[in-house]
Amino acid sequence: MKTVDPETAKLLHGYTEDEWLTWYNALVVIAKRECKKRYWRTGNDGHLPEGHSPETIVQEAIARLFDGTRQWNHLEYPGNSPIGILRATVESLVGDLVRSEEHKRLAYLESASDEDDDGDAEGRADRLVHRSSKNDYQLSPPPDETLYFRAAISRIREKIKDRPALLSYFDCLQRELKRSEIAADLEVSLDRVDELRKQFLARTEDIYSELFEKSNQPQQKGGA
Amino acid sequence: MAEKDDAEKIFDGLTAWMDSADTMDLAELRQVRRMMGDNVEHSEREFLSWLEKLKQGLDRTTSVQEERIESILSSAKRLGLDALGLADLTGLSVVLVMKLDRRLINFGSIPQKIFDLLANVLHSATAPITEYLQQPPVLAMEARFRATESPTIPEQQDFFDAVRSDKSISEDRRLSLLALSEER
Repeated sequence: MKTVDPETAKLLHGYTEDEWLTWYNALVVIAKRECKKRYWRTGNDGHLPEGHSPETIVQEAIARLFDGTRQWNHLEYPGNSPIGILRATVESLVGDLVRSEEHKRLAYLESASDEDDDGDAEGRADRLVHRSSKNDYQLSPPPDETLYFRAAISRIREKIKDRPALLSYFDCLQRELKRSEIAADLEVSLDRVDELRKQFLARTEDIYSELFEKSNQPQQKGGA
Repeated sequence: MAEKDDAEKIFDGLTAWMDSADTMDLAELRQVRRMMGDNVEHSEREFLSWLEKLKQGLDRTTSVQEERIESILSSAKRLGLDALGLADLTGLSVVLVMKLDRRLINFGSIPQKIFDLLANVLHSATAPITEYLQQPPVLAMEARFRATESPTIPEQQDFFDAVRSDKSISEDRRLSLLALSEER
């Protein structure tokens, strides 16, 4: 039986409700992004296979810390906050689930190909189409997804065009810079980056709401 | 695949601010989750209820670990007591304390009063003391390291026989301890 080391147990007991809620919500946001990045591979309303959702993945990560399945190496993740180790666990769990589903899908397609190798090309194509319609997994996003994302970028630019600081911030996001990299790129403090993020989200909230609403909608299966 | 890579890359850029979620405060995170279409209040309530159960599980695991004692003497040492100090506080002798520590006294012959005294002095519940004393006898530390031949563990002794044969104990203590046999 795995056990929690006394130092970790003491820390886990000492956190306040607000601390837990902050970490929980942060991890759900991070997990949700990870899941949505991959959602077109699953056609399951942005949720991962095996009944998992961003919320259950976060709970699984926390449970692993509590039951000792995931040991907190305090040298690797120093300090009293568990957010570092929990985030790493969440990212690893999402990655494992996606890899497992991709493996299943590939095995399924290979098996279909072997079974149907009877020289009847037309019949094989029909059977694959039939199987594909039962298959939950897609190889690519719906064809209009890229266009929609590009349109969202244009709309965001329009919304913040009178604020050069926000435009610069958005440019950094487009380059996928992290918070500290944005601070270095714009030559501002981390607090200023946080301030810019808040102002940016206040201006673009309706666009992001729509973006997440859209990616929450069930997709048409068997897309391009 | 190029289209998928494109979409993924653009989505990454659009949502790159989410990468710093672990630096946001609770108010901002709640706002972000609402923006994402989540019922935050419901999600948080469910989480806290689940977390409470998780904490209770940890309490049980931790208390089981805490309840086990390594030995009588190591528990005493943690309280700043040596064998003599423990003997004085429990009304035993150093010899009896050492025999109990090495579990050389037959468990069934030890009066309940001794368990209670040890638990009281060691600031422990009675259960961990009885659990410790029920285990098989152990070799003395010196025997483990110095013996040229395989050392043997002496047979367990009856508690009252050990009191009677103890040459180091004062007569007052001997009589008090032997009186416990009448209470059984």
